[in-house]
Amino acid sequence: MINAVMIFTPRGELLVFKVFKSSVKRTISDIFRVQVINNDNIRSPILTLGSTTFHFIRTTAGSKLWLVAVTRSNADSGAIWEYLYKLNSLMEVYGLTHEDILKDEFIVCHELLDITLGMNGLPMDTELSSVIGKMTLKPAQVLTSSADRSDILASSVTTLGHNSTPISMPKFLSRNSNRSVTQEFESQFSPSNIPWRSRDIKYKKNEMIVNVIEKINVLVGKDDNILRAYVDGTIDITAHLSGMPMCQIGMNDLSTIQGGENAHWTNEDRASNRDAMPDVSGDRVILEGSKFHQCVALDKYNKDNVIWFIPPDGQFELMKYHVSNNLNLPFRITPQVTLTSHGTALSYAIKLKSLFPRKLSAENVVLRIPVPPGTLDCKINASDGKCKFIPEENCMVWSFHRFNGSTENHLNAQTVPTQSIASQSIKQWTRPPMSLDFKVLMFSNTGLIVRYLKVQEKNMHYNTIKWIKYISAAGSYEVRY
Amino acid sequence: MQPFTKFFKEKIRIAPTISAKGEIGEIRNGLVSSYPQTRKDAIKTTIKQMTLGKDMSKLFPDIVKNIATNDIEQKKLVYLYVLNYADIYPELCILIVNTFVTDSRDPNPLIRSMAIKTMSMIKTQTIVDYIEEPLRRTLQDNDPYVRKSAVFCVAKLFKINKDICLKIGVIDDLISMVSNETNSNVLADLIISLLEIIRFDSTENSIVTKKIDIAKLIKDNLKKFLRFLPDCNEWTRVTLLDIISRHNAKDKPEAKMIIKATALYLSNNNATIIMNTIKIILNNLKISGQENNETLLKKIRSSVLSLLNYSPEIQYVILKNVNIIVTKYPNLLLKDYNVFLIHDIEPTYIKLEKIKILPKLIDKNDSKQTKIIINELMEYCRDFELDIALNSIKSLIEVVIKSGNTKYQKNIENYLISMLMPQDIYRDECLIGICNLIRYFRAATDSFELSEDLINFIIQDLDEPEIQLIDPLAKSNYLWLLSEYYHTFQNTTIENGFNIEEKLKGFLNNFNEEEDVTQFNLLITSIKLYFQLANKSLIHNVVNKCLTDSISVDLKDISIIYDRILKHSENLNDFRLINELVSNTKLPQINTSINQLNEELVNILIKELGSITSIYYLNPNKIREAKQNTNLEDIKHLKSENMDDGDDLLIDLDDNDNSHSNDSISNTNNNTNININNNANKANFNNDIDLLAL
Repeated sequence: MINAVMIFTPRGELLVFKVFKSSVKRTISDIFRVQVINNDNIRSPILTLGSTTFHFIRTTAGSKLWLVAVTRSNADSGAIWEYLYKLNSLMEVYGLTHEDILKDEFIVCHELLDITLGMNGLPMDTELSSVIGKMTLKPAQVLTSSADRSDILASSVTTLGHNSTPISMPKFLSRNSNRSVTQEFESQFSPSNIPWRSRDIKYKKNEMIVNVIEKINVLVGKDDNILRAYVDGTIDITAHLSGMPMCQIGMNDLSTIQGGENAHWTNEDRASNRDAMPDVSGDRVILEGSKFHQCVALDKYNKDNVIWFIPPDGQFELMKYHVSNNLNLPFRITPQVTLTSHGTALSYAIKLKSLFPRKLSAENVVLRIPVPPGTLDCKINASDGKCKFIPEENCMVWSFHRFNGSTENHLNAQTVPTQSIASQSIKQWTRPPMSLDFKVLMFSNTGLIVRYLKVQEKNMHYNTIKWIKYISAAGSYEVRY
Repeated sequence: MQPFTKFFKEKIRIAPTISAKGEIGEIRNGLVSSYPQTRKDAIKTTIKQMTLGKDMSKLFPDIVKNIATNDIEQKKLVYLYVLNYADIYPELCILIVNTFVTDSRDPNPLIRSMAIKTMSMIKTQTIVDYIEEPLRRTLQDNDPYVRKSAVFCVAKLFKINKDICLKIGVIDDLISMVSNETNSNVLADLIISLLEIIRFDSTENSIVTKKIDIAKLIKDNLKKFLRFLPDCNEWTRVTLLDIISRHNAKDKPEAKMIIKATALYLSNNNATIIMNTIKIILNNLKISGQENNETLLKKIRSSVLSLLNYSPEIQYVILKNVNIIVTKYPNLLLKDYNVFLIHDIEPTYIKLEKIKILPKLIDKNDSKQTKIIINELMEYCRDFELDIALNSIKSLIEVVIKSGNTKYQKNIENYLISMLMPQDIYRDECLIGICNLIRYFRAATDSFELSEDLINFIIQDLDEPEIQLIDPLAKSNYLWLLSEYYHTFQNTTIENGFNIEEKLKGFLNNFNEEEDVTQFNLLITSIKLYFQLANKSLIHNVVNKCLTDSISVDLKDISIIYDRILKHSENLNDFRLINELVSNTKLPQINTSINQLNEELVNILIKELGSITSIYYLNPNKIREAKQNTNLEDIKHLKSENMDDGDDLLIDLDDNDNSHSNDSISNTNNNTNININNNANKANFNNDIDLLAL
């Protein structure tokens, strides 16, 4: 399917060129360089020239490398992109994010490609833990001992695009449920056929770290009605468990509760530690389009609505979910933007109100407020936080290091236009939306709560220490005015 | 001191390190060094230079000496090198072939599979001669990983040397393996290899095509594939689902069974698995009689939507595919229009696709939804990205036509005229859009009149339409407006009046710069207005100009006829007849102003969801896939020409006139709008010719 993989530096220097099918030659890289890298007008992530198709992505961490897959048949585009993204995250784990590193460690990259892509260019295996098992080198970053836990947290936090120091997480569910795992589960999930976990894993201290990460996306129209609001959530788990543990996770999700779950779920299973619960009055959440990692027994989920899994070793994304109803919006923005009497300047009156409980606080709250082109300066008066005018980006940035729950802040500003500006051009200005960025810990936009997490290993009876953290962050939070 | 020195010599590397510069001489010395570490360093440097594109083939003999080692990493490197240069040194391959054969018996499965893989990738005859025994043995290997590698090697070998492959009977081995294989990975690869072999030798009546009946293989083993699905690795699952999607269910129970067994993979988090599952379900929906199964449709719907939260590239594929899916199942996503509203941070290509999809989700019965979509699109019309703005205008017009509501038509027309038309960049698109609206609503409502604003705009703001309008379609639409609403324009109360002759003259002066479509419409308009215009010589001039300067054969033919009629009809009575014919020809009514996929193509593409053809909306059966240059002859040929393969790579993907990019697709389609117009008129001209012949 994939005939060759190429990796370029942002400027177009070829770093890796690996052919999987012999019909591609090195000169193809020149074609790509001319047609895509040196072309500012590229308008789609796919390019077909004659019978050759390039699929490409830019890596997200480090220097923005080009990852390119070359195909010469009518291949499955979705699969190719999915593969490129998986490759990207594997390279990140191995620290191959910068061109200089890649130049030195190109052998690692070749090995990665060899393991992840079969000889005929079909992706074979991209599961982190099993790829690491096959590689000759272990990534320095991949953690085997719990002492490095803070690193994991840091990495999972940085994936959200924020830099912040790792926070301590409340322990939850410290006692292990002794309820035995059902027989049928064992029978259909016999450990022999689990491609993502090897059998001889041992830890002194058995731990499981759960991160519930929710990105909220909101689009508010001009007339202040919410055009679209949804949450993309993921549950990321880092498992350091011995043997072949069978796990079950339960949430206050409507579908999992309705299912056969009710019988199992009693009060004693409920988390005893109040700190482990996010602060919302979440009742029952309707998850739409939940997507699971391959380790989840889907037939079980379909039949009984319970989430059973034997986790791969290390970090993985257990599930993705999507919620668009009954969201707890963390902020409310009320903008009032009017033309001044001269008709050449705009005056802004913005109210930013936090709607989450008082005892929580949001970090890195940044509101970007676009101003019309030709603005020289802004007269700003903010009730709290810092607000600066950034001329090169044509916007004001109102930022708070910390924003307490249930508080309200106001911003009044007026633009100072250049002399020559015509009122017509202010009127015709397209007014790009304001956008808000933030992060709230231990708050769930959807009200989703992990009720319990059971771990059982049939041969080794050990207790598992479990950690959980909830993070709510802004995906794209846009307000028109 | 003696033992100490010895210790140093053995344990610590004193040998010079290999500098990264990669000078051949230095590396060569390193390769024959007595220090293993130095040799390994030298190999690494060689490979590094090789991947950077330097020719390191001179070192072949020295590198090959290092192949016999217990260090797996070093072995890998040497294999990598050998693969790259074995074709240049076929005679030296005899040196390594024994190592290959030995390695294929190594206790370590990794080395076994590496050896067999490398052997099958080298095209030299020496190696091919030795391959039979190792290959057949590894096909029976106990380790699935080795078997998997061997299975690929058969396909590779087939491309290198068909005859040997057939002679040693490995293809039969593969076929018999299908029903016996117990490992899902190997099973999936078996089918893939067989498919590849067939694709490579697809001539009819070839031995291979007779030998391998892939459809039957899939049919016979369908249950096995379905059974393997739950327990396999995610990428194997992708392959298995792809194989299953090739199977056409024979009856209702079978289709039901396939849907039942696959539907749960809609909840997998691998986008490809979801895509393939959607494809399988949609293809089996009809035959299984579950077309109206609400729960199933709901599941598909929510899967499609949740895929729109993946990476932008995946979203792009999905959006392209949504277009196909909603053409086939128009009601599936009607309620989810808000998913297709654009966010500021999205990449342009996503925004464009979303804008193109919005008009397809218009629900006539839901006025609130229509209103929201219209408001949104009006917002996008002023986007600073021109592409987005222009496409939004197109979509906006389509939404209004689909809603069939005259109130919207008035509003949008006014909006376009006041906000956008005055600006050069939007003018063409707005004029085309407004004319489309006129064409639709004129037929749909009884009393239709041009709005004052439009008349004023045409008269006052378009002084030099032949220059102010750029797109030939916009010019054509302008000319059409003039001929169709001649009286409205003529009877205007605006000062200075309106001189149509002036405008036509402008176009005539600019004639040679105009496209065919514009020239054609200029001719038609002139003929239509023959009796209204005072200046008859202008019309003669237009006809003559078409006759002499046009490069379009059609246009020339038509103008010849007019020329003759005009010259030879004495009292113009004959001409009046023709004039009436032309004037009364109305453009066909339009129901849509944007590109629609035709049904046949949709039925084909729905089976190909996710593939490259589904992105370009091309018929996969009409695409020539790249021929693999694995023929020995070809490779030599290309080597000698030294990388002159630019042309070789740029073979046309497609023979028919379907365009490569979407924009041109929509362009061609827009052209058809006018082409219909042309054809309708042409049809009339054909009548004319008949009249003349009589």
